[in-house]
Amino acid sequence: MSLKDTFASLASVFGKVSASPTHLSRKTRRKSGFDVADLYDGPIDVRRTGGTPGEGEAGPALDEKLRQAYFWIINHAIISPFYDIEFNDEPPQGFTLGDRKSRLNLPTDQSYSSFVLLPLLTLVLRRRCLLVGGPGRGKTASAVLMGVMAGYTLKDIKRAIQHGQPQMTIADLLGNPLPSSLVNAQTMDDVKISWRKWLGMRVKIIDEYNRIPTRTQSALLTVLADDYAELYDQIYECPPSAWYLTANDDAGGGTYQVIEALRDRIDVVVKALHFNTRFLRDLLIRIEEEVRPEEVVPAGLVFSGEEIDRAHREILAVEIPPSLLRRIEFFTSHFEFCDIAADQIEYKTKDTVKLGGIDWQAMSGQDAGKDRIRDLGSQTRNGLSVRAMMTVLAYAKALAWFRGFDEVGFEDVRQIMPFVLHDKLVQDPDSPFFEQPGHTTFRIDRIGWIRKLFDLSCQEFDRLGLEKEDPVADLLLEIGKGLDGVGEAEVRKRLAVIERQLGEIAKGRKMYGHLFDDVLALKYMHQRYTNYLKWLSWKGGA
Amino acid sequence: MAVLEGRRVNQSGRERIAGPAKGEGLVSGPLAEAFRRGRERFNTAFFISRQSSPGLDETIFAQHLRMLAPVADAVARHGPERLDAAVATLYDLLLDLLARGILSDGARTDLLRRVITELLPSLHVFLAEAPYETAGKLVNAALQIDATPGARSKEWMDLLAMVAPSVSGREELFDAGRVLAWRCGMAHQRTTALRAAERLSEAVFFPVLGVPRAGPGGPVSPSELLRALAGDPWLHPARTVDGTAGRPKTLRLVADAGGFRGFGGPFLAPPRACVADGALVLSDGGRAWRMNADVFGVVFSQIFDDICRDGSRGAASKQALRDDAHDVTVSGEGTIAWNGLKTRCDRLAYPTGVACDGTTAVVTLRHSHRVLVFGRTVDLPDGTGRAG
Repeated sequence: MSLKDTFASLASVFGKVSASPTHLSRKTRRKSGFDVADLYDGPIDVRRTGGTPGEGEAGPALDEKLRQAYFWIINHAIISPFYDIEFNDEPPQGFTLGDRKSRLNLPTDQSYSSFVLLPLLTLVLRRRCLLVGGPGRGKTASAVLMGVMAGYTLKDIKRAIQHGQPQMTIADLLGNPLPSSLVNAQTMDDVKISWRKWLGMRVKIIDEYNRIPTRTQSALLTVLADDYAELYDQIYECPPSAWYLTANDDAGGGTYQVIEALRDRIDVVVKALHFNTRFLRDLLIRIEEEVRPEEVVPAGLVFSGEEIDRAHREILAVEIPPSLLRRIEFFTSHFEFCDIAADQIEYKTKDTVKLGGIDWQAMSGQDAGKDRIRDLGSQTRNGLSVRAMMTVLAYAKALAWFRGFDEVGFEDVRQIMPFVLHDKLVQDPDSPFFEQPGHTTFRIDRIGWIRKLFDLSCQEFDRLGLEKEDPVADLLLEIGKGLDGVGEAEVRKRLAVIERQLGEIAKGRKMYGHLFDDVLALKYMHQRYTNYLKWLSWKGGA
Repeated sequence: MAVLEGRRVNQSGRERIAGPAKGEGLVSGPLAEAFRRGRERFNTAFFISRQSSPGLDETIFAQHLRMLAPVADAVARHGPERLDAAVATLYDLLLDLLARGILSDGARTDLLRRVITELLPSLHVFLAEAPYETAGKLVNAALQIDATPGARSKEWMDLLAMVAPSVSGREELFDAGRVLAWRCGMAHQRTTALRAAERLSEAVFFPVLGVPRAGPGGPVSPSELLRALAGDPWLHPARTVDGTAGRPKTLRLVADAGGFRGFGGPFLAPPRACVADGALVLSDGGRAWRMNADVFGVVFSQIFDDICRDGSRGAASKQALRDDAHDVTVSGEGTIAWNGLKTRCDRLAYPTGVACDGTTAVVTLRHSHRVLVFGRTVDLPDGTGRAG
């Protein structure tokens, strides 16, 4: 092989930053009309390397920069030739493989590897990402790369990694009181703490977090959840940070059981997929050339703190269309309802069962009388927390922003949902749903299961025709406009509509999660109108 | 395997790259020291760059690296602790330029050689502070000026090096660069340059505009000077020193610009003129250009929305042509009248159109790819510029 050929073949492994635009999205339009280029614009992109934008210079397009970072990692740093987050702009060509009729689609739009994309989205969202998978699959390397992308030196980021181990103490994690101040202190306020440096960093890495002792996990929870650390009555305020936690086995195989509150704070779970042996040659080249990608991250891909803040603000500005939000509402409404948990409607939740300490299997067995296969709520042992719902919305916005859109699309939600709800929805493997042909694998494959759940929810949404006719949504919209100036006759009319709607639901006899939320919403509106009516009567009488 | 010994072949038969190692043999002093200290990093950077640019020639690159010697010497003299970072940045920048083919182009190679060997050493203070931003911006600016017909990159570099000792920081340096670029023929940078000039200290302001600090009529303040320049694009800053108050405006032929594309101009056919969104636009029926014109030059920038694309070039006329909005009248007899002022110009034969933006009137001619530019100005006549 000639030298030229060798380098041409190597180009598939290493290389440079991808040329812009990396994605032809709706935001990318051909420049038309006149534009005076700034004097300092040119082939050397100084704006992406910490240079300050000057007169006439626009700030860098951060979504484009993040896409370039993504492609740089994919092309040069992490060998992850997977496209499990699929997007299509026209119907994809598909193949059915094997005895189990596995489906392989060839995406027609730019698709992504979750193992690289989600840590990057976590970086700009400043949230918490758990990387799970067997040893040597690049979990820690991926987290280290995120630290380098956030502007830290390799040395700093490696020093800042907290390695979980059974002897890890709170002092190991947070810091120590200075011995001199401890001896001389008259009050707790006099104690000076030498805080660990990692607490002040914008990227925090906890390696093998399930090997941390339970007591130390509680100290970690305070930092992770509330952005502060406490020792000897002294408080250290941490900056908003992106967290990367790794675990070889997230299903209880660590040295210590991870406390539930800590697990609940993790926003996304990403699996480190296996190494595709067809790419072994790339590994060989790395060994021979002694190239360590994390040491040569292009300066142009490093995000300053200000850029991460700006990207975060841009992500929050991405809109979720009302019709899509309604589908997300409908999906999340399936899971909390448990008809046999209580007598009073408000307490008919899975949380009541859990708080009651009752065996779930025994309880769920009593929930007879409705179609448990059709009831999506039967597949889980819990409902979704407010935090989980907020995380879904945040990551859906981030994904849409990353793809260059101003508005979240259906596929953004569909693709991101499984990674956010991975550890949030506790599966009930005894649900008859999993006994259905082709569904048994969903007991293991949570990503596929949650995506299936969302698809089934959307099918049900369409079957009920809620896109076209949704009386409860109309009523909520009406009350959302406020009650000022609404007359008594109008209030009575609306009360009658609410009562009629409740009557319709009652006629159906079977209660499902989405109806449970509708019923409670109707009760809420009825109460507000009733109180308002009383106030109107009092005002008229006074 | 070490990569310090020039070309070697490893077990898999691949040739190892040793760009810096070769460069090291050709240089001495601080640059060679910096190369020695960062050898692995430099080799890796060259290796990675060569993956995506297989044509990258290590011998050529090694020769280019010699350009860095003067700037390395300058940085080492004044801030040795910043030398390695500056050399690493300049190394990456050269590598990038070579990989993109910018350093392989003869004319641009000479330009960049002048930027790196002549301009950057005089800016070593800023280079030590922020090497990538400083070097990157100045390289970009030099390339832009060089690519602008009529603009003078060499003069820009000389003037920037001259004012550099007076500037207080990088931002002022870049602002000075903007004003100087305008002064060196980048007429389209006028608005940006005037805003940049507002931010300059007096010690920098007057030299970059080429204004003697005090004229016969007494010193003029920066704000007075900028006010005068903002109102009259044909007024040269040097002729504001003794004040412009009370000086009558005259209507003059201030430039002729454009030309046939085959001879380096922008137009394939004699153009037509119009005003769109307040800007002068010229079209040859196929393409359109915005014309930025002032005392420092005329620059044509192609625009994609061909505002004047009507396919016709208009019939030659000896009748008066008028721009009602600004009361400009051109007669086929060789005169132009503009809001009470009138002048005769023998070259005004066979005009096809006139367009005026309020400060400049452009007249197109039937038999010429060039256009005549007239201005109402308080500037003193010293001949007509020929640009574009």
